[in-house]
Amino acid sequence: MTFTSSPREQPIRCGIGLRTPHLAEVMARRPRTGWLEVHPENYMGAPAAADALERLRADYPLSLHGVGLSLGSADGIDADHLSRLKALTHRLEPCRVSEHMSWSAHGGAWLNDLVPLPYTDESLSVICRNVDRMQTALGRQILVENPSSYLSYRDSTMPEAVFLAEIVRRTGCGILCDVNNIFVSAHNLGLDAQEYMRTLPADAIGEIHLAGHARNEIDGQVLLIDDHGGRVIDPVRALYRDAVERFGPVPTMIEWDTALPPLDVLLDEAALADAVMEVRHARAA
Amino acid sequence: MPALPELQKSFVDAIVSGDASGLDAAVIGNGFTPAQRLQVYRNNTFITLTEALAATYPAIVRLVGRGFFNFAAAQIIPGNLPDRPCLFEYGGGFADFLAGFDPVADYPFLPDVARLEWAVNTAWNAPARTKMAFDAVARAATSAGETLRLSLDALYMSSGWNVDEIWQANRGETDTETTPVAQPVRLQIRRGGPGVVIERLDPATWSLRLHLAQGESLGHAAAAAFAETPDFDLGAALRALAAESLPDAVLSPPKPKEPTP
Repeated sequence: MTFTSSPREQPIRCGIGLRTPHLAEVMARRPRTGWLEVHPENYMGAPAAADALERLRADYPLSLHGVGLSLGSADGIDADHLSRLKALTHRLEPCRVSEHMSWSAHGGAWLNDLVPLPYTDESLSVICRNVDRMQTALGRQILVENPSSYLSYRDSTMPEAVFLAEIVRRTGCGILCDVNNIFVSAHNLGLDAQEYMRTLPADAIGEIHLAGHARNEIDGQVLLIDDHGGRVIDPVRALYRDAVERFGPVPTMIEWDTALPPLDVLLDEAALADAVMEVRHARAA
Repeated sequence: MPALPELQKSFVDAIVSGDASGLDAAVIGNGFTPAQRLQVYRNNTFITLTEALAATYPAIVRLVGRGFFNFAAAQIIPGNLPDRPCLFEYGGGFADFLAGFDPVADYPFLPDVARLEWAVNTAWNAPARTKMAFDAVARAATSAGETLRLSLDALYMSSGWNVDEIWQANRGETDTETTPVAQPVRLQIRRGGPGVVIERLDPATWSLRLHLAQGESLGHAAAAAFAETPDFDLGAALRALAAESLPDAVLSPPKPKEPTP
């Protein structure tokens, strides 16, 4: 591996999402992987879990990928959750902190899902205000991830990628580009995945996510479901090659949440992504 | 009027009710009906919240079976969406729900098993606290006497069933036979070793610790213990409390009430 370290101390390699069932094995084996990503929400309770993560920090760069802040909520983000995230960020000193371009909560009720916004000026104001608040609280730039979507709204006045680029322009945040999400949303909403990627500002891409997804047939038509429950399929890997071509090698992560396989399967997927980056890197050298 | 708060309210309402008609005009169908598209989010919400409840209530899952558990979860979730984002904090009302859930009326011990599982979950996820040294507890007791108020790093519950044995038999991967027995048990639940430790206490000790844990003064807590056992050895009970490293702080006395003018 000839990649140089990023100035952000996050190696330009592929890491894996560390989920609780793999925690003990990673602690014991310390497998070779670029970096580890965790959901901070899973480390805000039992002190033993955060203690374990603190020990892993010595061997792996850590990225915190939030799922609970609901940056798109019109009624703002939850102050308690933000202060918990701040405390965890202070303790673990992650190389990256990211959240989603979506909303989950309204009126004090959480859907535990990542729901897309209508892409309007009003939504832009809401999410930029919330991203500003998060970046100010944490004292650092965050990455915002494009969602996988199963619906879109008539009121939207701009394409999703334009909306995301505008958040970057207004707040100075970076982008976590989930290539599988682009593939899933493009299929479900009739978007052009290539055009989507061309619209994103290349210099704002701080991480890439790769994952598997499921096919759900409804009345003879297929809706893709972003279940993070399988290997990366070939067309998504092809899109990833395009992404690496366009954005350059970027810290990449294998995201697997349901039907979690043995750890080695995740490491194998990560090696495949590393190989894509190596090819690009060798050509550029 | 801003459209986003209205849209988000309608969306949450539709997830709760399963009636997507309020979003028909807002959502683009494009080959599907808006309801079919919304149903994906409803399914995600219900599936992940059911998983969260099952993770917190594994013994209930084993006692009623996963199919019935999913059915029960589908009844409670719509009216009880999480009020915060961390899933380990979701589901505190499940025991009360089971207590009023007719299909399990013939299993009167279930709500208390659920209460115990919630206490285990709460103890496991509690923030780490620094315990008071034995001598510090002794000094505090000597100086404050009956007015002493201590914070205890433990939870207390009682039941009319042997819920600790039922929980123990239904928490692992393998089936262990246990018979629900109607008997009063008084339990202390606290984090310890690699997990959570559940102990049965005698009525007076349990009463003393429960009242202290509720923030009452040593005088009130001791009175409750003596009501259970007139010859209760308070000195020994306090030494045990300190020896078990239960107290983690001395609480300041409650503010005196303002005199009514």
